Amino acid sequence: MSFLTLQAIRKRYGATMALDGIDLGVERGSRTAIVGPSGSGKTTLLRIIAGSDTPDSGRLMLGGETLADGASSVPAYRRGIGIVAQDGALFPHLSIAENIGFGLPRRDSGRDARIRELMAMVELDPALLRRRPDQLSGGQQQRVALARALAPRPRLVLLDEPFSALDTALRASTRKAVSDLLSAAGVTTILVTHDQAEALSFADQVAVMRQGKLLQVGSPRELYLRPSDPMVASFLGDAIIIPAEMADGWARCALGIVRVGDQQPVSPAMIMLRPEQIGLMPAEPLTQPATEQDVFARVVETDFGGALCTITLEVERGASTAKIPGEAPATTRFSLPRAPMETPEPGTLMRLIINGPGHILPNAVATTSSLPPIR
Amino acid sequence: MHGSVETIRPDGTPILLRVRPWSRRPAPPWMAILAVLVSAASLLPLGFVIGVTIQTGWATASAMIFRPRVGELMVNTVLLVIATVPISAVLATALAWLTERTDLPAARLWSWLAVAPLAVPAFVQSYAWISLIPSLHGLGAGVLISVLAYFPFLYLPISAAMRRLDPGLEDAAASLGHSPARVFFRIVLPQLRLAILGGALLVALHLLAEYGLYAMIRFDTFTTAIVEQFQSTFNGPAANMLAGVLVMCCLLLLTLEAGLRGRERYARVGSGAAMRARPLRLGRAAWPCLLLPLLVAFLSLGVPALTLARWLIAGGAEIWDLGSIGLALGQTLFLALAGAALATMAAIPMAWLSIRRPGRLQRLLEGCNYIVGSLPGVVVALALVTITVRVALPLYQTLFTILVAYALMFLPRALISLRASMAQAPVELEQAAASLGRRPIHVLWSVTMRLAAPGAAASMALVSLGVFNELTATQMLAPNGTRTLAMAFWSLSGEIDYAAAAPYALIMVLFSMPLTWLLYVQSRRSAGR
Repeated sequence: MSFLTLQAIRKRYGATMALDGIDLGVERGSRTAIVGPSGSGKTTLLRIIAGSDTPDSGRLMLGGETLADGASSVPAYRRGIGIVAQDGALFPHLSIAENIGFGLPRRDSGRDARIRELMAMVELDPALLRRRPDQLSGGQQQRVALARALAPRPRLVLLDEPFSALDTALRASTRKAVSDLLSAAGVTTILVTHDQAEALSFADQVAVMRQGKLLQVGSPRELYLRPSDPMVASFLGDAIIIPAEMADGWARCALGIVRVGDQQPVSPAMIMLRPEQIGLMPAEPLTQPATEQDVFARVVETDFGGALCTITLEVERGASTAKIPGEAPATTRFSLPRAPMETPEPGTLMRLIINGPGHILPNAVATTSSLPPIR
Repeated sequence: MHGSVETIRPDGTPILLRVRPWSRRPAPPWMAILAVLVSAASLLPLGFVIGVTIQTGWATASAMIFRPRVGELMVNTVLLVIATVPISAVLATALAWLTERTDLPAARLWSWLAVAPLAVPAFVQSYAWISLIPSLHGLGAGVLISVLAYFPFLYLPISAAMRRLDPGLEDAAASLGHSPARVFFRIVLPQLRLAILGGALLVALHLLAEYGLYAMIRFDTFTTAIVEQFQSTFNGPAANMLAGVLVMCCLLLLTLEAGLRGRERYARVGSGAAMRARPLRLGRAAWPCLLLPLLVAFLSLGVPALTLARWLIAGGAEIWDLGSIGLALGQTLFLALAGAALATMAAIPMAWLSIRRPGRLQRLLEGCNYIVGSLPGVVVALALVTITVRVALPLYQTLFTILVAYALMFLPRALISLRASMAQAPVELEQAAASLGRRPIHVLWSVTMRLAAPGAAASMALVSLGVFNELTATQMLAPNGTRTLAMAFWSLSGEIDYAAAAPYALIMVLFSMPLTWLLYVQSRRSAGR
């Protein structure tokens, strides 16, 4: 059994099912990210783990102790679970030192030393200790909030979108600092975020949530490369999702013939390619004679966007597409990000080169012959 | 708009051209002059107290101030304040917590009932209790009735602050191992400090200024003593010296509050929308918890309602002397509306200046207005009596003087709502109108005041509510033959004709009701709900 275990947690607010049977295990000392669009129920889940809210049904266990079983639950202040909220939630009427020491016993002789140790840990100048929270920058406030949460040595730390209130430049550096610090301290951590890049770079285990359900749980690599359905695939990054015919471990789709892994082939199926897998070569002059299997696409449009430009291509001469009964074949268009110097002029004919295997989406039904919109 | 434009001289050194930002341009002189005039007038009562003290001379003044009678009044007043204010604060906080943070059944109803006592004038509250229990008198009675009459002044700001509290802070405190009770005292209560201080100041100033409530139960405070002195010796130095001590008490309260308020920031730190707090489940405790709002509503509203009903029934048809009631109502409405109009007009220059040309002068002028607004009506009246009698006798006991007194007393009320709505009239519209060739006075009238009209209406409503129930200054200053509702009520209940006084009390309560509702709605809206 895992360190933190959630079993069939359900929570309903009025007519909306905020959590619809959540099962999740979190190992001791690991970092888990719960990622999902806003309104998917991830903050509710966090509140239930913290004890700010009680589930309607289901069990919550931490280190072998039952924290909640249905509506009966251990109150938040007896759980020993730290929280870092989106805006830090520092107490505005207390100094930084009093904020950090809030969870430490008043008469503890090592209290001041512990506060200083935490300030050093989050890399803040001890001179800030006497300031008020509103005299600190957003990044500093977030670090103080983390120090405050770590002060009583919690069994588990919950991070509720702690970086989203910071500006872009600060976000990455604060995230890196927090991540290093937590792994040095060996604290079990759960991060809630709607930012997929944040979730992928931060966690050992990622859980994708939607409409009160966990769609898929696994390592960041596994979720990115082998998502279980189109929603997870496109949530974690740009994805090209197209129907394909399966034969002998190969998929034949509009973009060519793609190797697939050892998944069970069901034909026709939906396969996913990440845009970074698709390489482009000018079709003329022909360096090699075109074979039957080569796929050519013409550049329809280019959008200049600085470091990354977007080019839209339309397949002109492809391998035979998977035929879905009853639907007419449509023109196949797709977009790719490219560096500006690698952006061909509109009208250029390009040959497609697909690197690495495609991924069959097990939970997708091949019902569409055109490409879904690309994020 | 701030800053400077750099130009290069032929020899290459930069010239700094100072560009005056629009907001620093001097105000149209007539606007500033009007504001200064209004503020100077508002300092009259303060100047009067100082002037009279100088004139009386230190020997006489100290002989009048340091005597047992004044000591007795001082003890009474101080005891009244230090008993009433903390009890009201605890009661208001408990009620606010129950109505805002728990799932108390019918919380909205209780919340409205906690504000509704504002519709019952303090002396009507006192009348209700004394005619129910005729033996009621002294400090205990004073504290009881004062708490019931004034606790809504604390309930309003505290409940608004509670609605705005960020529940994230309480969650954070709980996650750090603090029990709900400790979270309340270490996190919630400190954040209510500003609301409690502001409300407490308001209640304390009312306690110092109130006459009718304490005269009815024969409890002597500075204000009742001043009125008595005035009635027996008219404009004697004894009354003036007592007024001086009373003014000192008010100023002391203002400084005390400013000192305790400090400079700390209590707003949310950080960004993002604050979450609404989930109400605490009372469960089985809901029923005992209901007893508190029930008891308070019964004492503060039920007792006046029962007493009024009893006297109205006992009096039957003959107490409804429609001729004199109609006359009193007409006079009261006239005074209320005229006073409100004057106060609002007097507030326009000040409000405009503080929105469009904020600066040191404007802050000073505004400070003057707030100080006089916190002085008891009896001091303002005494000052105007003395000044008119000595300097401009033809103005003594004229409509003009009483209206000036109202304007001085209620200027801060007018200023607050007027300023808030003027702030919403964008300065760009004034600039556009000026660029289309309108004269400044025309611009003010046709653009700014049109947009600020709702605020002006609210400020008139607030002032007229104050005038409607005003007793002390009206008695001392109104022209002979004036008989407002409050005056008629006061003289009838003074003759122990409680039944005949009842219709006047009823009318005052009924007219105050809609404005109290307005206050309640505004306080909920200001908290975002």
